[in-house]
Amino acid sequence: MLLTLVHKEMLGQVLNVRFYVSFALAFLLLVPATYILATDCGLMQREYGPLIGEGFYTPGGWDRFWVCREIPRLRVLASGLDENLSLRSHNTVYEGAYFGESQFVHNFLRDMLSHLDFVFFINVVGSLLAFTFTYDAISGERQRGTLRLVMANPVRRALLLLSKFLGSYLSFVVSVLPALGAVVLVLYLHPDVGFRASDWEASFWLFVLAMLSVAVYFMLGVFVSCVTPEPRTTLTALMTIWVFLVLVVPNFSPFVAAELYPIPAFHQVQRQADALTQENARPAHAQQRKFLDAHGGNYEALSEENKIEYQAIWLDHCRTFYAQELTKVWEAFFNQMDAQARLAQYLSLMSPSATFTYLASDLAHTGIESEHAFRLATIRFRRQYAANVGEYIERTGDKTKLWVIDSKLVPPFRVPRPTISAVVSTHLSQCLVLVLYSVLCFCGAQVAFIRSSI
Amino acid sequence: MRLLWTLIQRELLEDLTSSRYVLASVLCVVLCLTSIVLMLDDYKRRLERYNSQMAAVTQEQLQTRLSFAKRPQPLSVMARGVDEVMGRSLNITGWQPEEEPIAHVGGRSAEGRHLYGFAQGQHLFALFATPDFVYIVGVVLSAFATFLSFGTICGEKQTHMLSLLMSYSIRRPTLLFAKWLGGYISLLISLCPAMLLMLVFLTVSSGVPLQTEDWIRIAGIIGLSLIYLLIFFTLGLLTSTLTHQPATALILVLSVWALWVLGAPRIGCSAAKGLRPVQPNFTFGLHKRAVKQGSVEDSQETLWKMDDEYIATVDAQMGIAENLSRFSPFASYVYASTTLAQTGITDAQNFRRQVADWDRERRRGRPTELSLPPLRLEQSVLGIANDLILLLSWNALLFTGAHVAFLRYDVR
Repeated sequence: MLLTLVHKEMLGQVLNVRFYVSFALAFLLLVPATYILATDCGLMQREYGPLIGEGFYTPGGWDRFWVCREIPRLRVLASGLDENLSLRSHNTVYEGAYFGESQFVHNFLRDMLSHLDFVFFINVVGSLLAFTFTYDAISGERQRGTLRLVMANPVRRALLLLSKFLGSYLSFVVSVLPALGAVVLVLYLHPDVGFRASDWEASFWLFVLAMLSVAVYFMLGVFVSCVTPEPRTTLTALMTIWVFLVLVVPNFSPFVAAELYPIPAFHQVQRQADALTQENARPAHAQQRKFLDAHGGNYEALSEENKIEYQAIWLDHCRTFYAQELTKVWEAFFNQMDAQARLAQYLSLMSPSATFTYLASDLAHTGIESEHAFRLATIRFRRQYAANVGEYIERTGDKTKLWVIDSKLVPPFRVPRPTISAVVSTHLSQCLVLVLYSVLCFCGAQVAFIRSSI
Repeated sequence: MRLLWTLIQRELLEDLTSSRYVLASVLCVVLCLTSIVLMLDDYKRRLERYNSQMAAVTQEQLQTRLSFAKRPQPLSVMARGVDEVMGRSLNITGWQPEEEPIAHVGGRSAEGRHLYGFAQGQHLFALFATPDFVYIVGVVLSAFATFLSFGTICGEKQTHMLSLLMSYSIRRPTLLFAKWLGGYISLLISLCPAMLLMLVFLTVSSGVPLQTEDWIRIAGIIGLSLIYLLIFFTLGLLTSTLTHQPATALILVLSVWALWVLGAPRIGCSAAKGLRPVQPNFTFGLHKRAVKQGSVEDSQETLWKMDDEYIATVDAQMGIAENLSRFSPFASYVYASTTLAQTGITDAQNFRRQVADWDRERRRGRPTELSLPPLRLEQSVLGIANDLILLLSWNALLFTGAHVAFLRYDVR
């Protein structure tokens, strides 16, 4: 019986204009967007040349270095933080790390209009299509009088609801499947993409999560269709819900989180860091003065060896201070930012779109978690490097390594890349919320359908 | 004329008593007020950050202004545009000509060190669009405008009201015009409480100093919003005259809306990156370092020439992106509104030029006072002329389309 009902529902959907609209929209938006993003990734890979690839790089300057990470390949499907995602950090021996790719001269339009990617398509267009597929599932049949006919047969109401959901959902999947196939083809054939097995696996899970997210909207559509008496009212209600869930909740939640959990402004933290820097510099300066007094009191009159010794006092202070004490201040700031981000995520839990965005961007390593992991990895890297230099000086007495970067002392730089299961387990509560929404909507729809007149 | 007025009255009465318009009105109030409250707080936070940063700059730096930031624009509460990006702190170092063009983005400590430069703000904000007034009108209310008008003709046909109306001696253009005007006035009436409340809140809230010129700009943004919403209202009307069933009309209009508002501008911007690629700042800096001969001072003119060429390439990419995305009225609306709010692309380019000119003159030994005046009202108005014409043209085109389609429409 279920199969017959699903088949009937699917036939109705396939013959309806919305099926073709869904097919056309998926093709027109998804395929060009993926191709453009793949080309963009290729441009980035070529421009960064040898810097692409995780690790350490020094451009020939003797006191500065970069630590870089790979451009996340799944950026093609989920651009996430996009240009705001740090791909490298700029470091010097005497200073802290300097993150990010934000430049003064850049294409400002990128700050106004985000990329159109797979995640955006699912969140905005997918959800909208889900509502257009389901708005008349029950209320439409009720208005046309066909519901009475169907219910004249020995069909259980729950079964009918399930068939409505499955039929419309599967029709949607069928309508976007060719476009998804074309996207996979673009990813496979585009010379700049170069997906590895793990990327294909992550993409698969991204598609699965996308379908789960869209399923919530389908369930919601069926539920509202049961609650409302006629399709016009269903549409009004669904449009309002859509506006709130897709366009309002995700966008407002970071600002509300900033209200509820304010974090210090960057310059307040910087002032704190400055005060710490000045305070910590005093003993090193005193030591330098002492050294100078012991050697005649005039720097210019010092021998080359003593000049190096004199400079080494300050640089040794920088080595430990910038890599250890100062990073604690920034680490604390990053953790506060992370806590605020988590609050925003919890606030936006009511929106499946926001939940999917966070999940997808973390799965693609282009999200908040990834940015945080990179920053903390840089801090750890600097600590380890400072420790290695200290160890080397202790062992050999050679202090030149304080300002000349020796690649032998450079520890391996690795940004922890969580596995798919780790990402899912981190966001398990959010995944469960998506499932819970679907179940709740189905239960609600059933109750409303039982109580409603046919 | 009398007939037209009667028809408009009927349309108004029908619309204003319908639940859709009431819902739209409530939604507008909730969204506009929430947005203005959050954006005001965001503005205050940015202003505080700016004041705090400028207070941290040492006296020596104040004289040379090597570390500074751009003051947030008050109208960014309505159209944030690139204000937050422009407001990030900037550093100009002694060896700037051989590094990235004009300035570094990043904080600078009192000791002159830049520390964790880019970690200035919460990255979370980059994940979603800013929910300012322009976003609410551009995305949310445009969807609602189409939603309110998609059934204007085909909906009446379904209920057989259209054939009844046409049995009177009413000319089709008159009927269409009455429906268009009546429906749009209803939309304006439902928007009014939200707009008024927002303006009242803006006036009474402390911390946003608004001058007469700002009010003219606000009026301009509201005017643009109304013209923009009219496009989508007319789009709904056009779809309604092209279809015979409201359900088909709705699906079509929402698809066009999705393609037009969400798809086209983003695809345009992304395509421009491929059509006119720009070398990243970072590799450009390495390239400049390779070209540099002798000291920075010796080769600064050559390096600045390279900078100018680089900036011209970036601007060319932006130009292509702007023009491609202008196929969508949403892009035109965003560009025009942000220009009026002094947070647009032209303002960013103006700010960039001022900083570059000031720095170059200083290095040439002709130091001048750094003043960063934003674009004047006349300049902003000139800057929006193209987009305004585009928005009006879309309205004219869509209404003409609806008119032609309705002349051929089978009302039975």
